[in-house]
Amino acid sequence: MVLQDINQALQRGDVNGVKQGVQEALDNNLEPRQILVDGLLSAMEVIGVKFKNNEVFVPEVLIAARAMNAGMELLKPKLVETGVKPIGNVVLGTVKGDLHDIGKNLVRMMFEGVGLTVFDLGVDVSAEKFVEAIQEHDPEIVGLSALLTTTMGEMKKVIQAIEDAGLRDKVRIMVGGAPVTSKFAQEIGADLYAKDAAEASFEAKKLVQ
Amino acid sequence: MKILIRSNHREQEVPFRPGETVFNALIRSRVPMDSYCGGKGTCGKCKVYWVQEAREVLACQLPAEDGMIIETTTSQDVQVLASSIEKTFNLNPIVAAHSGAWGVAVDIGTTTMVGYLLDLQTGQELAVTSMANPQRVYGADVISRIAYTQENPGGVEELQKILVQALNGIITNLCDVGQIRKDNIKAMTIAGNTVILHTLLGVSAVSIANAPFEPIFSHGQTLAAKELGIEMAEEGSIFTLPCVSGYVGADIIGGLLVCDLEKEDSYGLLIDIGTNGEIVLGNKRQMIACSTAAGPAFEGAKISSGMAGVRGAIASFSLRDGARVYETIGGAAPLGICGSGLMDIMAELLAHGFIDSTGAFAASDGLAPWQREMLTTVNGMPAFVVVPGTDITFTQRDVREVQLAKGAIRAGVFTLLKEGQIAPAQIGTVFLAGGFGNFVDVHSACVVGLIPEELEERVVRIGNGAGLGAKLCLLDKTEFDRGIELKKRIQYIELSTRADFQELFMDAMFF
Ligand code: B12
Repeated sequence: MVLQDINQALQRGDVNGVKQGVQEALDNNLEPRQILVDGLLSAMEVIGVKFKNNEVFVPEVLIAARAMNAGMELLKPKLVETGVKPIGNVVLGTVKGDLHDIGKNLVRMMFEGVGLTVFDLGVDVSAEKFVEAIQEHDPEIVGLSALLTTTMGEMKKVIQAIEDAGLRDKVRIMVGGAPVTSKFAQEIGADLYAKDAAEASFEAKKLVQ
Repeated sequence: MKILIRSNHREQEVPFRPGETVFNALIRSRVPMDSYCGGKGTCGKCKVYWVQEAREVLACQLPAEDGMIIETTTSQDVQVLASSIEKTFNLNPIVAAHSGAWGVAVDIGTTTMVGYLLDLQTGQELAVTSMANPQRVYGADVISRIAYTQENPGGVEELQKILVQALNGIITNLCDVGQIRKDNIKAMTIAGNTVILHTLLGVSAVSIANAPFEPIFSHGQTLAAKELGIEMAEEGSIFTLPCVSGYVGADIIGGLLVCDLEKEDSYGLLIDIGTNGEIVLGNKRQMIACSTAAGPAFEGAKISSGMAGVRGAIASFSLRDGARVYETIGGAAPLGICGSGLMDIMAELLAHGFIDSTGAFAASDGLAPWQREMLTTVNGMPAFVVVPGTDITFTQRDVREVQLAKGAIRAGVFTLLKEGQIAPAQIGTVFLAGGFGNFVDVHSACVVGLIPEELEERVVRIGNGAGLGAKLCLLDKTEFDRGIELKKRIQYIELSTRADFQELFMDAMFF
């Protein structure tokens, strides 16, 4: 069955396989929503679980995510047409002073892998930029990434700025990155900490549902 | 208010300030402590034993209380690299020398420091001494130390003071061994990374920790010994070698003075592996350099059974006819695995198909019975039993840590190759510097892919290149000038702003 093929192709990171599968499914008049959920997202979930268990690692997740993006390009117009909405919005970025983005990219991919729309602000993002993006995109979740012990403190500043802008009650703030701990997350007043991208996406999904 | 510290069968009373943690109290009293995170509670290395409560706790999470009895078990001093390859030079000392004039060359590493005492008139080396860098207690890597100065007023001065004290300690040792007086030391040359040189001069290095990572100074500095409080001749001078950038420091310039890349037609590659990997690629026509963050995995940190290269560490490992063969430092009973052992284990597991090219442990039905017997599970994940009957294992998680570290270094190498538009095979010589570079088995490093595999036959170890470079500068001032020229010639490549780095890093993580 074609959804099964898409699922398998995505897990292998086979870009062409996913594209062909999605096209075939659309040609067969399968529902776009079903293609998304049973073809793409369920495969990303498998990858996420394997990643969490260390069975696969960062490169495989990126390769799989690339395949998912290829499929999404074909699928997106149809999803919009049929009125399928993302399950929620996320504003995500690496804080000021820090240029590490691979972990953050992985988090974005896993978020997209559970059906969230992510506004990725990139790296070296100032507190003001986060605030502006929240005002613009009205996300349910804000994700902050920091990989340096010297930039972890910047997360606190971002949370403060969100509070000062009167937006703190509108968003749930999630933090992560190698040196960040759940204790640190609590101390700076974040709502959630996740130690890896898979966990982050499970938690995010729970939050918006 | 005091706590009582017991370590290695010695007792010592340590005062503390109200509200202070045990960790901070110990640091202020200069009690050696292991820490990678500088007291943030994240690395788990500052574990101590609280005698009254009979339990292990992290010193940095433990508020000090009057009368506490604390046992520490800090590892013995790490193996230090003092000897390097031989290098010829013209005797033309950096300061005018008469008979009875001596000089000291120092390499201040992040973890250890080495000092050499040299006769400026004859060039003869009289003594060598080494010690742990006392700044270690503020964090294993330089970033954690900068974080300390960010959070603690007076931290910059504290880091400077402790380093100057250590340099004076080195001078005292050298003078003892060489049987000379301190005021006969007329000059001192110093190599070290950019952050360390900032701390030595009492300059905040915060700007190096945050994008765009600009140092406050990178030129070689000449200072009066008096100004820094270094105990040597009144009129004595101190020279620091120049740095290339915030993360390619004077230690690398020192190494380059040893390997002469810029004099050759064929390309040479200098790789200095520590928590950061600094890499320089060059020949007569071009010189390019980058710094890539490997993390402390090669020093045993973040590895489940990892440890520093001290007594009891498994330093080499192989599988012969289905049997494990290993050696430990000092021939002691095995306690864990250090960097060189780690690379050997990784290489053997790859060579024997325990681990596939993605870094995953092979499914057990693909393995021979003797191989299956060597595996176990740790936290539900496969692991290789390194020493049967102990909990020294090499886990799936550990493989992932190795992949990040070796991926970062390899991606740095390949970024430079790409930038210079040259193929690996065009490289004539690979110079390996630094402690890890000196102890790691070259074959293993090539199997794992830390060094491009086709270059295995072309690897030369230069040992402590930074220290040798500092010596050259002390004895021949044209070498010091050459260092300044090198600084000007080298084009620095910042990896963190390159769009293609992620792709190269992903490729480099596979085996
Ligand atoms: C790759 C790497 C780099 C690359 C970065 C490339 C890029 N575009 O990102 C390069 C080589 C450019 C680099 C540069 C530097 N690096 Co670097 N780098 C690393 C390395 C090796 C791996 C990081 C990584 O990508 N991991 C893989 C990803 C997938 O994991 P992750 O980032 O942890 O993310 C996961 C989780 O943390 C979580 N997560 C991440 N973000 C978020 C966000 C949210 C909201 C949530 C919920 C979860 C979450 O999910 C992710 C996936 O599971 C680490 C060492 C290590 N072994 O970790 C050092 C390391 C982070 N770097 C370090 C340093 C010091 C630097 C430099 C400052 C100095 C230098 N030249 O070495 C520079 C400057 C860059 C800067 N300041 O931004 C240090 C930090 C030390 C410290 N005490 O803070 C480390 C720890 C190495 C070390 N010990 O020296 N680095």
